[in-house]
Amino acid sequence: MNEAGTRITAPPLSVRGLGPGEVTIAGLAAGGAALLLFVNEDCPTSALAMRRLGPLCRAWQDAGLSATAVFEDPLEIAVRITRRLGWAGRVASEDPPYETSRAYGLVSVPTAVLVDRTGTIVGSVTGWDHAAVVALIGQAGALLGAGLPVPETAEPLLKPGCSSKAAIDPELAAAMSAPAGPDGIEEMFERGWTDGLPVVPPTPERVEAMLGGSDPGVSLGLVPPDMGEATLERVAACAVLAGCRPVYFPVVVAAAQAALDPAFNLHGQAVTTQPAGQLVVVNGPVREAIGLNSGMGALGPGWRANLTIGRALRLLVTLTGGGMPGKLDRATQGQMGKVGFCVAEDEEVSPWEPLHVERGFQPGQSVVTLIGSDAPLSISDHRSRTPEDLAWVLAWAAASQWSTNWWPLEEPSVFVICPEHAEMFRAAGWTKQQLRRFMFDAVHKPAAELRRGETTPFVHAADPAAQVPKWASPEAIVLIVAGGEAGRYSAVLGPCTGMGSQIVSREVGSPWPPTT
Amino acid sequence: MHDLVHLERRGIPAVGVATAPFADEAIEQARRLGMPGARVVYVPHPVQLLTDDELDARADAILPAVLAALTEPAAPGPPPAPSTA
Amino acid sequence: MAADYVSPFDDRVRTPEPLAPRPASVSGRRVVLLDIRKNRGAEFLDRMETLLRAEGAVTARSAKEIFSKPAALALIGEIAGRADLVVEALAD
Repeated sequence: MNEAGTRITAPPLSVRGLGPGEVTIAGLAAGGAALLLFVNEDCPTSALAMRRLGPLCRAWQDAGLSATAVFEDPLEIAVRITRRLGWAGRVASEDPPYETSRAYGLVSVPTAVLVDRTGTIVGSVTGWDHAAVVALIGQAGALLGAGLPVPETAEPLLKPGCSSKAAIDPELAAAMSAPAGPDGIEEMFERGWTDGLPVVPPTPERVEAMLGGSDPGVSLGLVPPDMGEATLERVAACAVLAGCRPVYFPVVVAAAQAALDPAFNLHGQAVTTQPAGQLVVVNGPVREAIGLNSGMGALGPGWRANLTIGRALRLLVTLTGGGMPGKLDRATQGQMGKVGFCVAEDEEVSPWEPLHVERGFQPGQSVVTLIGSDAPLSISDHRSRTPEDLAWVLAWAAASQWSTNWWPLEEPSVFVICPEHAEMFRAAGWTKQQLRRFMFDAVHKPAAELRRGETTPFVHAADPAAQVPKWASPEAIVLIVAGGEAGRYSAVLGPCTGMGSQIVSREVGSPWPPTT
Repeated sequence: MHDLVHLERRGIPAVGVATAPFADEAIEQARRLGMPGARVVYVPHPVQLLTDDELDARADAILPAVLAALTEPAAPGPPPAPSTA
Repeated sequence: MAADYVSPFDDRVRTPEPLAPRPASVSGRRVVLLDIRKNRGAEFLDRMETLLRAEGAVTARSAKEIFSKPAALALIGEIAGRADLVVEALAD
């Protein structure tokens, strides 16, 4: 830097400016003199300097003194900060490893450097030193033969600067300036904001995009078990974490609305030792609109919409609600559906009315239906040649749900019928009700055969010869259609029991709080 | 606060030293990071313009609090507010 | 650092995380003094180091890359591997 009596040439600038053309010392000093103000975004003293000097830049420019804030930060950040602070001078930005700061020998920011028309450094000030800054501006005025406005005398008159990024090891500086890469992902793990898989860090920008103009402060209610408030902002944060696209957000919100309905008893599911997950079934036009899969692999991975929507709801429960496995969530073994489980029904292949229509909605409405459930049990049937045989096989697969001898089951079994199986029923002209009735009737046993191990009070009290059904009523048998065109594998999901959980449906985009 | 919380999570007792005006921010940050009990000891503000002897005196004055932060088990309730000494 | 992430947690109700268990005394323990690199921090830690040594601690020094960002997780991990206790200073 400039020492008393020593004339030093200002090192060339390696910076980006706004607009075309290079930023050069010669160009900046062409009007008579140039002031370079080296700053960075982390430094409060730099902000102070820009605030105090910013309003003076226009008058300086008219007199021939250009003023450039040279940021050790990306240009977009520089522009945002200078706008906020009222810096009316030029803006430039250095990339790591901050060669220009290094060339100017910076240890601290802010550093103000005055350069004359010949490209010689005339003076410099480090940190905020009101008197020294006024003197420096005086030197500039002398170069230009003009009186230049100076900052008002105001506290603090002296404020130390902060470390220049150039004062740090170049490799570290480069690593630090990288966009939120591995450290952002690791930070999420460190904070416990994950379900064990990496999440997308919920930056304010991502959350704002997810909200899509919705009011972030709207509350959907309290999420058990911690009773954290589910503001739309938090729901959006969970959706971002999960990896959702903003276009999925209305479905996530509808799923949250349904899950928080007291009738669903999310609280019980969130803390139980049962392997309870929250199955989200989606019906209606939204499926195609956002790319939900209802065909091959419908119950497995591969489709962003399915995986991330299910996951967003689960993150709402585990993070906002505090129902984290191993902590408040006491599931003995759990199951992978607790990562998230969102299924779209294949209404087009199904021979029957879809689930939401059964539950009273119009076909053209987009609806989510929440069911507390355990993991899917696969049912192979490649050999039945009649609908009766197939229905019998499907029904008996569920006989051991919850527990081998736990008959009857009050809570629902959710059958996911694959297209090839559905076709057999379609060809025979069976309605959903007929199939349901057949399945209900098919699975009966005498009470005497159920009196071993865990069984129900009903079985204990019944006459040994009395026929006990698996389900308390045919309505406990829920039927949806999904899966690939080839392969005769259907599945059945068992319930969570004993907590009075009702199946709850909610239209996508329904208002909050509910008006009905 | 991030550093303190990260260290505590890894099983390393940690204490931060900050000037008193930092207290509100530190308490809020600790809460947001899920560890409201994270420990900070406060010294009066300012420190930048102190002489070396004055700086040493600040350190001497807080040694008992620093030792306590590193050796005393967590007490229930919110962390203590900074003294105005 | 850049604006913090939007938290999915409602901090008013979040179950607080516990602190690490504490030793009975610093005597014989490895204490790392972590400098956040603000002005006067190094001198302050010099004095803390002297005081802690007098209490029987074994001390070592470390420093963050820049005061305003949290320490890189790699640094935290590295410190955790050689420290029983950490004193971080001096934020002003």
